[in-house]
Amino acid sequence: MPGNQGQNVDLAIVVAIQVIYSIALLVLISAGLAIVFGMMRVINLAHGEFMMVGGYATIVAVNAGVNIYIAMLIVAPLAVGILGLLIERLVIRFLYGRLVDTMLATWGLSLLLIGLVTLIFGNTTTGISPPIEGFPIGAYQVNGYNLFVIVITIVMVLAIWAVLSGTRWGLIARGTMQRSDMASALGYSPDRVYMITFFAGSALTGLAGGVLAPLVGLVPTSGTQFIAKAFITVISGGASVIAGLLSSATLFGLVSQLFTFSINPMVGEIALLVAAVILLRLLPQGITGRFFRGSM
Amino acid sequence: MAGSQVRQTAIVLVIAVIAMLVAPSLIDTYTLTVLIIYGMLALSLGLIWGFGGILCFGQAAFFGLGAYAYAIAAINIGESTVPFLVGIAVPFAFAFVLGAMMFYGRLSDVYLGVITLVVTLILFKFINSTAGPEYVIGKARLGGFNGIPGFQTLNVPGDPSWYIYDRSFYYFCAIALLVVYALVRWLLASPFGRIAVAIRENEQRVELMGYDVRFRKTVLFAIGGAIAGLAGTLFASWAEIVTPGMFSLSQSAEIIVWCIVGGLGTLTGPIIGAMILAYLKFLLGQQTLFDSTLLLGLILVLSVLFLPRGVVPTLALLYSRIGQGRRRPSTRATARRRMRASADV
Amino acid sequence: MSSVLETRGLTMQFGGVTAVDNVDFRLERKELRCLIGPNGAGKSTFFKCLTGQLKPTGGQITIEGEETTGWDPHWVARLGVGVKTQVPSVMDGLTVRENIWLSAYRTHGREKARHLADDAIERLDLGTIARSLVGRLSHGERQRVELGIVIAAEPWLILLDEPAAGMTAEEVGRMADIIAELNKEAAIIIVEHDMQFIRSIARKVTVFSQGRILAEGDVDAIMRDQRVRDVYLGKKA
Repeated sequence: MPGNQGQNVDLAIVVAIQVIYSIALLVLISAGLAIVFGMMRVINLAHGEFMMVGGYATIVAVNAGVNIYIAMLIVAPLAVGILGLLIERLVIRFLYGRLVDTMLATWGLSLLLIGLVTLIFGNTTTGISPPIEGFPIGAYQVNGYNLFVIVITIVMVLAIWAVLSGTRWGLIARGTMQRSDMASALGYSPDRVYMITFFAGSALTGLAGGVLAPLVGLVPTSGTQFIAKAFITVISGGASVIAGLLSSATLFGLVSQLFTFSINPMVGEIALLVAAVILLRLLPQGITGRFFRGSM
Repeated sequence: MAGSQVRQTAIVLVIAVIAMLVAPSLIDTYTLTVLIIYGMLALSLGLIWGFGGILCFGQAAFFGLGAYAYAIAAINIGESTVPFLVGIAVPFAFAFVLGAMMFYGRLSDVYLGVITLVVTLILFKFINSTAGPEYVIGKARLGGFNGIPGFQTLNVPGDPSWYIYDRSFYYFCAIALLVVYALVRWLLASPFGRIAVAIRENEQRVELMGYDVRFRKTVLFAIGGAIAGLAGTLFASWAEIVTPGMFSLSQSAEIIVWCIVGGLGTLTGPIIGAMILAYLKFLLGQQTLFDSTLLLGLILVLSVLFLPRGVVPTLALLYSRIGQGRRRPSTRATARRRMRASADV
Repeated sequence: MSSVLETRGLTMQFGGVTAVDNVDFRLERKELRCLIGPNGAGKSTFFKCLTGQLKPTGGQITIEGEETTGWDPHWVARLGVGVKTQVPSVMDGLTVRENIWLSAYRTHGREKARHLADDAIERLDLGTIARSLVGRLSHGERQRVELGIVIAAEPWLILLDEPAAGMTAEEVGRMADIIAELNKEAAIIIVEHDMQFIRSIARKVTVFSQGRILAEGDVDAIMRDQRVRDVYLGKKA
């Protein structure tokens, strides 16, 4: 029956979009964390709150009459980048080389930020509506904004790749990734490299927060739902920023969507976490610790 | 146990008993009880982190498991003695299996942190999603985000109608904490405890001596799980309801804050840290001006930056310096080592 | 004489690098053997394969008749193998006595451990610092503490990685005496650079170069060997 077949094709497209979207989402929310971890060996547990701040920055800007795209793509990254810069100077830089202490301090920062935002905006849900309408594919409705998220993610990954491979700064950054004393060997102060890296990582996180703002009802504790996923995506990926991010996001995205479609979204979420535990047990150095070694 | 350690432990116990008797005249016993329970919870992490070098980001998982195991068993059995033991045994077994998986896989610190954190999240999400009537264990409905209310609270063994509550429950918890404290001190002074500390100091060397490091870490981790489970069991009786919030990341964060503020490498530090901070949070909860999360975060950041060894060891160091009656210029490293030695309370 | 340790075709590769390449090695009962060779010759990797800290990628290891290839370190240690690592591997947060006692306790139980620990402390002249935290000691003292950990377990095969490194001349002399004393009971393998020290303790040496055994034999004969002079002494001069 041709009609039925057409419907199957439609379904396949919709499912494919959904799977790609979930992978892109993981990449988007993890990129900032991955850069900071990959280059500085710092795990920022306030990452989720950085996203949350990015979301609030977007909403505040939109409510103040700023164009939503400018708010998401410029205001949010800038606001969170500056926040990150501040935090790097005030806290993180005293803790370089002390991985566990940075985790603890940034966990403290995450609570602090939740508290501050609660103080300012109150414990209520705020949100904005997505600027892109949904559209139908056959009998199915597709969320147009999801496609936008996919495109943004692809552009972002290409941009990271271009910066790392094509610019002088990227070269220094990659050198520092391999060996921490490389920056000083090349005549750059590692302090500056770290500072800029943390700014860049924070800005990307702010971007993720901004882009996701229309998708979630934002509350001060919104960040916590992202940190665990971002955290495991980055750790599972291993030391290489782009290869690690893409490979682990693909794996986790596929696993969670497989279980989401076959059972329900809750099981999908749990399957993702279980997959992470199993993966880390098998590959304690992350995916790129074992495969794609030396890639970017 | 060396003589001086026995004396030290005895002094701590005497002070604690006096405090236990005096405290009810200052703070109501209902609040005191939960402070003691939190003290026990902090002790569980203080043991495995401070002495075993195992940083667990999910100590709340065992706390919640203990509480849920107790609640479910209590609903099914009706009398609290067996559920009380179940509330300790289930987290012990869970921690043992989880620990074995991690330590036999030789995972490093960071990955340990990730896995314990993720496992906590899995439990949290799972319990949260069990609101439907199909999630039943025996007669007990898991209740999802609503939690489980209405179970038998602690009673005198053999008589389900003779509840241990209010002031007697307070004394029960306080004595339980003292007993656990004394047992842990004894454990740490025993060869098992010395080996645990040796593993924290230098895993490779302990292995080259012929000790099975993985097994010993697993056992220590499971003991920590059992103590956290005991705290959860008591908490269930105190709150008369168990909720998924017990598994939450902020609960785990709080336990870590208690330990780091109170001081790692000591047992009294985490207990005191927990009691003071939890009371502070309680007082802050009375007013709406200031968010308690904010303060908790601030304390964590500041203590990592300025008091990396915690309050109790720092005080012990100051005390020992004054006691020596002389000032010696010393490097940070030796000061830290001395702190660790002097504050092994 | 029967061998206490034997390796056949022992190979250890890291990625594309072969650190230990097809090594056949044999150690007799109560023998004392020195391993020498330039840095990066694979001596330390070879050691780590023997102790189980590294799992060799090829070949096999037999210790006292047991095939131990791929065993975990604590199982190898339980056969009676004592190891002193290159950088003193001790427990900084414990006292000298606790460090040594823990080692004796594993092998001999609570009662005998006390005597063994006392004995080791006396032999290594650690009595005055027995209650100090190891983290506060000097490098030479830490070296001795680690040796104490090794001998308190009464092993019959001892692997020593650069036992004289960073010691004063007086300490080196004492170390040579201690090693000679230990050798009455146990077979010993020593990785060492100090030729004078080697001459004072060893009869037979094995020369490693690029992961292979280059030469093996009497210490004086080896020193005259031109190939050895090229790879080892030549570089030094």
